Amino acid sequence: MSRLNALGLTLTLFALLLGLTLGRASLSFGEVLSALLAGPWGEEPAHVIVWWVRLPQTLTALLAGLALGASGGALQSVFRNPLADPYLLGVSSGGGLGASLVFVSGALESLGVWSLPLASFGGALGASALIYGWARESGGRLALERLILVGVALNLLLSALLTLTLSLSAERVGGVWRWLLGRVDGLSWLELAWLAAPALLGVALLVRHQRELYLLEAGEEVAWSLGVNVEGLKRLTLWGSALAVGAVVAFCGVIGFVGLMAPHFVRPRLSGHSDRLIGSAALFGAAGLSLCDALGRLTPTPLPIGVITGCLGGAAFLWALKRSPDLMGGVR
Amino acid sequence: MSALHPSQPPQPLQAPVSLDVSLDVSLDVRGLRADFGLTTPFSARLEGPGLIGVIGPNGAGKSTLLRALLGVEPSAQGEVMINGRSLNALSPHERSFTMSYLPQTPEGSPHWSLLELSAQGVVGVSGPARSTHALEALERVGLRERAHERLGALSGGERRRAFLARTFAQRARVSLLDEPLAHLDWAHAEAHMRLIREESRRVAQLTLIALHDLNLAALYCDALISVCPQRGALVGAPQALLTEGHLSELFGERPTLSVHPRCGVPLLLPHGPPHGPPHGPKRLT
Repeated sequence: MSRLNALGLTLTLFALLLGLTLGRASLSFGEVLSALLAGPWGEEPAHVIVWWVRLPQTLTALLAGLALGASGGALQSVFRNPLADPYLLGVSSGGGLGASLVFVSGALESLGVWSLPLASFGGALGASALIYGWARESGGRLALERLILVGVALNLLLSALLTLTLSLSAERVGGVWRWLLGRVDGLSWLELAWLAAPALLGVALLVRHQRELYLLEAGEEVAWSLGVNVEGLKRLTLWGSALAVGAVVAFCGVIGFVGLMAPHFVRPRLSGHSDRLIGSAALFGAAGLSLCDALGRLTPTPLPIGVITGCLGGAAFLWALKRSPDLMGGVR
Repeated sequence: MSALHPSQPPQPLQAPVSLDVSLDVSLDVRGLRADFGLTTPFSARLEGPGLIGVIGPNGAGKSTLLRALLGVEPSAQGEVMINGRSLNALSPHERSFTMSYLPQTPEGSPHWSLLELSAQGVVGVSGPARSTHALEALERVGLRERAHERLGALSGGERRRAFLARTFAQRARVSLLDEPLAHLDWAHAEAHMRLIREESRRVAQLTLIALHDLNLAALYCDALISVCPQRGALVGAPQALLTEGHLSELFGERPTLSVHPRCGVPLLLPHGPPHGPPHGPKRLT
């Protein structure tokens, strides 16, 4: 394991412990440990808090960070564009529209707590499919410039429709609003499992192809000559990313900046292991988001995690740009 | 269809790189055409090893021809065969041993080390052997000592050499280089040309190099492909194509030609102003 990944793993474990320790009820590190050892069926309040509140929440943050980091790194490699992030291809606006339509109309109410995630997962994948279909050229080739432009346009269109939906039913906006800001708390273990399956599948697909994605950064023609199945890899990345991030959006809403930040943080530090970008970005996405989640519990009223990642991530990004101006540049 | 055999006798080769590679390489092109640049179908049989210059005016389709040969030009039609096998029939793995490509503006992250860049070209090997091959390629372009520096720390000319190292590391049967000499001063340009020719001989590959410097083309290439907007692409020996007649047709302008004093190949000279050169400023203040 490279030193960078070891650092990422340490940070993630640290964030995990921090996430279990911090919160409204003050628990010491020892209490957390004994609760963990006692197993999920302990009856003391500390056991219940650790096993049924904090552990799911911390693992949600970890999984979401993993998916966002991996997908951000993969999309930046495919598009060779430093501004690419997991939401570039309409996953967030599509998911948002799906969720708000269901929320406002009350459709799918029979599905209970599953209506919102199902609607937004459907919306996210639907938006991806729409963008993908629109940008496809004859012969099945995907032109990246076209894909970006279609993505931006469709994102704007869907966001406008989302705003329209919300403005038509002002009284029910609160719930959707909260969802849009991003959250990692309140998931049951069952919901966590439904988040984990697609998210981990998508991340595994992207990590498995990280060397080919790295070669793709040399340009499509060069990657082709080096034996990369370019069109297949692009398709796989877009769908793998949509799957992982669609699941995150479904259960956690829109958590910004992690997918943009994690690969940028990792890239200059890979020192000789540039072909491991996706794995490292996933690890640091997980560490970053779980740290943000833990930090968010220090404030008197818990802040939405999307606000924390936005503020901290934005500030850190600006600072990093000031320090190394070639952070975003490619070599021409 | 025109046949081509390198005009010079092949120079002695160093030890073959790997034993399963035959030293002869043939590139058969049949009716290759594309929507832009290469509108007249092009057919030729090129036999190597050798260095083949691709010349022609701006916008004539030199890059399109190289991209069509590589198999990535969406509008291309026709067939490209290497050593008797159609390019379309190659598996991705076989392709990586068959074709290497250096685009006109190579892309890459400034964070890549030169070793990483060079190692991208090493195909079919992994682990420590990959680094060994990559270092050898860097050695040949004179960047071995800087293997652990970042691509972003290099000057423009060094960067060109670093990207060249990647194509060298690949040791493909056919190498397609799109203007690798652009933006280099004359001394560096010739040094690069020499490097490319040596490498092409060393690994017995067929190297196609698009270039604008016709003098270097005349001096170093075994044959030329002239991409002519009116007549399509033609293949011939440098002496046969770098004539007043063909260059006038190719560039729409009569060239001033001379002869290289030592090598005897045609040299292209600038016309100069109509009334002779100015003799310096009249008055220096």
